[in-house]
Amino acid sequence: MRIFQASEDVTSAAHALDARSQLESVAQYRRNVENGQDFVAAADAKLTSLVDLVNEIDALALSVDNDHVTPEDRNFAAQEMNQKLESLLEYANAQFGDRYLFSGHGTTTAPYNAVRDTNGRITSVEESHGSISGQIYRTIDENETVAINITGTRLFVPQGEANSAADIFYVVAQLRDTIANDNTPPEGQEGTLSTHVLRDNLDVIRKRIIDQQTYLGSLGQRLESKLSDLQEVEIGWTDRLEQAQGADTTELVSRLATEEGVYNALLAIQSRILTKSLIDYIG
Amino acid sequence: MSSLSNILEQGRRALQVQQLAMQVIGHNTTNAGTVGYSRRRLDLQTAVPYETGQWDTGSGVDVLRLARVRDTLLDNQIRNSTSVSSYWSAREDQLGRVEEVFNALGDNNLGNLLDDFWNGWHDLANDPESETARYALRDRSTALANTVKRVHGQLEAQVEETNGRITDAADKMNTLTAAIAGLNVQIARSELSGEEASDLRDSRDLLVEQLSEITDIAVQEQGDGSINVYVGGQVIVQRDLALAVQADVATSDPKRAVVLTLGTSPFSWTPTGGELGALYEQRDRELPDMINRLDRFAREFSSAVNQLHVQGYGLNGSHGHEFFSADITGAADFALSADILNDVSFIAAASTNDAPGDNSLAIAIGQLQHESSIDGVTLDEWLRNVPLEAGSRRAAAIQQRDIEGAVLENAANRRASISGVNLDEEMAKLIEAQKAYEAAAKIVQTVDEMMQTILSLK
Repeated sequence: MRIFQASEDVTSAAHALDARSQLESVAQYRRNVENGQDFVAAADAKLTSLVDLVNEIDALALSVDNDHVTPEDRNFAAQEMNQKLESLLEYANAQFGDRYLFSGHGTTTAPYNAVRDTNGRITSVEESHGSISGQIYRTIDENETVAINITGTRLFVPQGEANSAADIFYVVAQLRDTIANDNTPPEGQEGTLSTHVLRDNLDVIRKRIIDQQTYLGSLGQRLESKLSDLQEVEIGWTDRLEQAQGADTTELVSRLATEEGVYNALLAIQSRILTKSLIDYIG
Repeated sequence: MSSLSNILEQGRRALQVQQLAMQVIGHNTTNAGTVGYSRRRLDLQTAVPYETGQWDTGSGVDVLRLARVRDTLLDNQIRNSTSVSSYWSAREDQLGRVEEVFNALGDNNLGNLLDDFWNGWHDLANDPESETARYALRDRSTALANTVKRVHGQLEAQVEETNGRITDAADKMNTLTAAIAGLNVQIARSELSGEEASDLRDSRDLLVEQLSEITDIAVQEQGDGSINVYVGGQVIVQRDLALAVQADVATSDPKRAVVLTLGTSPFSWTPTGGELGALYEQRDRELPDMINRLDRFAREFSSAVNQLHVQGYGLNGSHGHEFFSADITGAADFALSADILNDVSFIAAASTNDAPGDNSLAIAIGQLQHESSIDGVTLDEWLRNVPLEAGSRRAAAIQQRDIEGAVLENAANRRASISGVNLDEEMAKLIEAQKAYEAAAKIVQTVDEMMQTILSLK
């Protein structure tokens, strides 16, 4: 029997109010999870492309790192490497909707700005704001929050390591310049800027990116699993709400059947009365 | 030695008595449905015998008394039951009004609106750069604040309304006590002159019962047939005097509560039973308790949210701004701060400046739902418990009302079986009286014939 006032059944009313509130919260957590999943999926897709790009950069560097390649071919390769660097910058500044995916808390500003030479070539890449390392969270359950973003500092340029072997833009720009210089690093910097050293640096960076991608994968699974848990919790609370406040279906059906019987009987009586005329009664 | 004239006198007296008996039966029968009517009973006795010498053959029948059938102990019990039953009925009615105000299980109740408020912060946390999420949050927060304020205002209005009801009840009391005092005079006068005053007594008993609905009373009958009526140990009706209950607004009380005093007493009177007792309970305990709890919620809730919000940064870089008005003293002034009302970009979601994607503050405020508490219960539970407690008290009042109603009904049924008119019984008595009357007439006729016989002797 549905209750309309707490005084009709205080215990049931308390359970009903609790269940309603829990259902509201669970529905909100589900929205939070789904919202987080969208963001994670977008970042994950972008990281897959980013790893591909890093592989292409590595393959390009490898292809020109032998004695059979002509200076002209290396020049072409350097130009292609420059395009890859531009693509890399685009990935770093990738957006999901209006938000920059890897910009930390600065979601409305592109996280990286290129510093270019007079020919328009990227010489270095700088962080455009100071909150790139900011983590974005979603509340996915009571007192359970989870970071859903991968920051630029975890992917491209670790904090305080700009223009170093850990800076992907720096490494690729140096690769480009070394290749353009007929695969020859500047004198005295063979130990840091030779193609194979730079490729080793790139490999470390690639592993870093793959680690982050793995994190996103496991985060995606965690969110999926949480969503499933929340759906079950929601079913449980819905049952409790129905028990506490919902209509008693069996009783309603039974009452409906009784009412229907009475109604049909009345119709039958009425139809018989209506077939008689006043004369029948007078006679 | 008896004479024919003595026999004739017996017959005449019997005719008169049976005629009176029929009159009583007629009165009972016609008042069978009259509220407060007590059945009359004509008690007969043997008339004082004539001094006739050796053979005492008696002198017929006479009226011993004409009395109304009433059990004073039962009356007393019914008055007490009426007072208790009236108290619980009024309590149930008053608490029902409170439940209607909260509408705890309906749509847009306080609990739902509070859920919406928390969810508004979650939505903002999901979209911290958004103005739209801020508009939604502002509107939800306004709806919550306005509803708390409305409920609070309606409870305050119920305090006012209860004051009005107390005044009305006091007026009704005065009307009843004046009427009882008036009847006291009439009854004493009638009975002093030997007249029968049963109808007047019935009227007075009815008024006394109506008085017991308003408050608990004690009644004491005096030797002259008048009654004294007491409330709280003080007499309010004494013979022809009725003490007026004064209902005055306490000017020194900021709530301007109506205070009752008896006559010219310098002390206020606090009724404990009947409708007035329930009204006092509602006005002085139930409603203030709920009002205070809403006040406390408004203060502590707004303070908890503000404490976090002032640490955050708005979309426009603002910092140190309250979300709710800073000087909330209770539910009556529960409102959003003017900054937030005028410009939603003052709503802070970030803990750091220049970080539009930072949602940490919005998350922290959303988590207050489970973290912040009043007296060990969460804010949600605190707010939810207010109408639940009202419901619980009303359920208890309904139970008490039904129990006391049944007790009263039982007592009333018992009284009806004693004082009520049983038409079957009255009809049987009517036939009996009619036959007795016919027999008496036959005696008179026979004596007449005997006298004719004597007179015709030559």
